[in-house]
Amino acid sequence: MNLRSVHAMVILLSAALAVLFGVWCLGLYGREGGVVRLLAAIAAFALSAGLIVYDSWFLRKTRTLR
Amino acid sequence: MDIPYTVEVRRDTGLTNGKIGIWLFLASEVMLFGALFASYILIRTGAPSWPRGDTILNVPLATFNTLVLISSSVTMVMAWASLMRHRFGTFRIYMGATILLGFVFLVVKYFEYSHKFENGLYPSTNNFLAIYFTLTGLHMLHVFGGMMVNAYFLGPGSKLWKTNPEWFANRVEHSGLFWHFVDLVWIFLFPTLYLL
Repeated sequence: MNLRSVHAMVILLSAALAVLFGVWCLGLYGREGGVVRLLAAIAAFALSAGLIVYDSWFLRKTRTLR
Repeated sequence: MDIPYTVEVRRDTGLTNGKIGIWLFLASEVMLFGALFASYILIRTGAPSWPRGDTILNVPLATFNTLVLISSSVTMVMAWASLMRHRFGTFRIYMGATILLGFVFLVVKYFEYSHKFENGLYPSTNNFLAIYFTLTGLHMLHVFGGMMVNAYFLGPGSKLWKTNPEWFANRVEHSGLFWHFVDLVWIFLFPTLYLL
């Protein structure tokens, strides 16, 4: 397993973490309110989508690096 | 005498010796952090009550640090990819950025620790803080160690690029694997300590 594959896996896990963080923020927003928490949740979900897009771009761009 | 299998792969393993070495080292690291995580689970499940991480710890700072570490894994892999494409100048920029991001992570952690100590929160205060300081402290040592290795490759170690570029690229890849392991540990530490 080379650095390319490990990086792709770490970014995927980071995307999963961003989703978890978004859900956590939503939970907090549901219990205690606060617009900042809602915005943080939206930002986390957007970041997660961004990371997945980056991951597929990275894998495409580095196909020749083994 | 030359070190064997630094660039060419061994026929029996299909890998270079350096890569086998780093994976064996990472396996031992998994056991180290695995034991600490297991201790955390045992202590937490056995405790009559357990504090919510976000009531004691600074979640926004830790979120910022998570973004810093994820960014550093991107710059680290770009440093290696630059070497694979024979762009040494670009490698230096990305490697420098990786070290800088590691430094930012440590500075933020310093402020987080200082704030805890100012408020009288020490490892001896309770089990939660004992686990928090042990896990994050060990993780910080790993970040520092990774920074030192990366700084070596940016500085004196980069001389190898002139004489054996493929070996140098392999060494940077091994350093990158360690750096990604450090990122991976944080990806588990952050939700475990701060969110759950």
